[in-house]
Amino acid sequence: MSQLRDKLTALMSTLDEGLVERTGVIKLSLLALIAQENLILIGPPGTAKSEVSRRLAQVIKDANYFEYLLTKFTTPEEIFGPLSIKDLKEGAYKRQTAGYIPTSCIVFLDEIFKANSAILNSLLTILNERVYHNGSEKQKVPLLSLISASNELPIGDEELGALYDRFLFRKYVDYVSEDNVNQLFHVTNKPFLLADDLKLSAEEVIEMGKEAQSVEIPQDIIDSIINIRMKIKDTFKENLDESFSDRRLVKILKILRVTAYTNERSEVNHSDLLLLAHCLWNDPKNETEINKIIRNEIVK
Amino acid sequence: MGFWASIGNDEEQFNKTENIMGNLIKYGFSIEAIYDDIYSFFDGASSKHIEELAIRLSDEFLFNKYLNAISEEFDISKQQGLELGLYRIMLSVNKDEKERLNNAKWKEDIEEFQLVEPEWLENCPTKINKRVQSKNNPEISALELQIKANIWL
Repeated sequence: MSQLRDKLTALMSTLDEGLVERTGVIKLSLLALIAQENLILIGPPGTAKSEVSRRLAQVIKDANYFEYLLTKFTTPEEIFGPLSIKDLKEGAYKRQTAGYIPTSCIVFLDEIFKANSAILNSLLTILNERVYHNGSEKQKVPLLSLISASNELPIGDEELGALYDRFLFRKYVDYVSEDNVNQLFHVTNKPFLLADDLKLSAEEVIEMGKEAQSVEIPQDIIDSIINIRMKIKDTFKENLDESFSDRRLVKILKILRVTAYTNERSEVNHSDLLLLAHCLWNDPKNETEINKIIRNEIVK
Repeated sequence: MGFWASIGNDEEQFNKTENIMGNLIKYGFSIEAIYDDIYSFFDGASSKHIEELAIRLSDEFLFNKYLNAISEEFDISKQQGLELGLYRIMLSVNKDEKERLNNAKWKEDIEEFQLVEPEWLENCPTKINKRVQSKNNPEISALELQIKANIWL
């Protein structure tokens, strides 16, 4: 266990090398990967969002990585694979998914909310169930984490709202602050290469997730989560865009267990609840308020 | 020449010493502190030192000025404040007398209070240092420890 914690700390630090003010994004994306959850990075272009996901792709040994920029004209062939002519000749409607999302461990989709209805349903199923319906065949998707990026959020859009809800982690990524902008002059274009000894196998990540389920959540933490949920409901009772769904609650418990497990603890503590600040808001303008609710509950 | 040896048959010196002790008791020194510690400082002091100390201690305003400065500087008890106040007054007498006797030819011509800095002063942080310390390294709560130990934060 101790080796795991040290390895993860070293991994975070290595992934962060050469980046400026991206430590938080690196940590959160690595946590999302280990917890096998999805992360959305919100912010303007040119803020190293794709660089973070490319680096993350190197964490998994021999990982299949898929990266794509979605437009409103993106077709299913582009991200799920072309139709198999051979199968079609035999009367079967199937895609050749090798090298596309259905066979990838880590996926980065830029401008995710440009997704059109032709690809939306399949994407929702992959994100939620890790399954791709390839013709009549139900194909298991080895996806560990899907990272997406967008400049804007589909607040108020029901269809895209369902897609947004699949991203448990949300992180706003902004330009480097004026205080640290001079550091950008020292950033080199040297390609990032992660040493093999820092890499994890997909099997290791899956095993961590299983073992983490034995982590206990003490009653005072459960009480705190219930209080946070009630306060969010109360504060945003007139705002339908902010909701703390049951699905989100269940996923949050999983995250808390993974956080405690990777910190070599057998139970969740209050510090883990701080990570909920990246899970409980929908509209970025409410992030501060929700963060305040969480902090007030923790220091109570 | 030791203080006790010198005081033996000098009535004037004895009166000055009594005057000093009376003032110290008036300011709040405990009898035990005076007899256990303070007398030892007088060993080796000249009659001029005793005279100067008696004059300065009779000035209540001056002594309070010392105490006020000390209370601003340190977070300590009243007895410690008195102890340090007296120490600083004796230190100032030593300093002034040393300057006055700057032309003394020989080492033994210079007699002074045998001062030993209060032991507790060595590790006693000043209020300013304490404030800075508290700002830079606030008392770590259990939650703060948890946060520091959490690799994801």
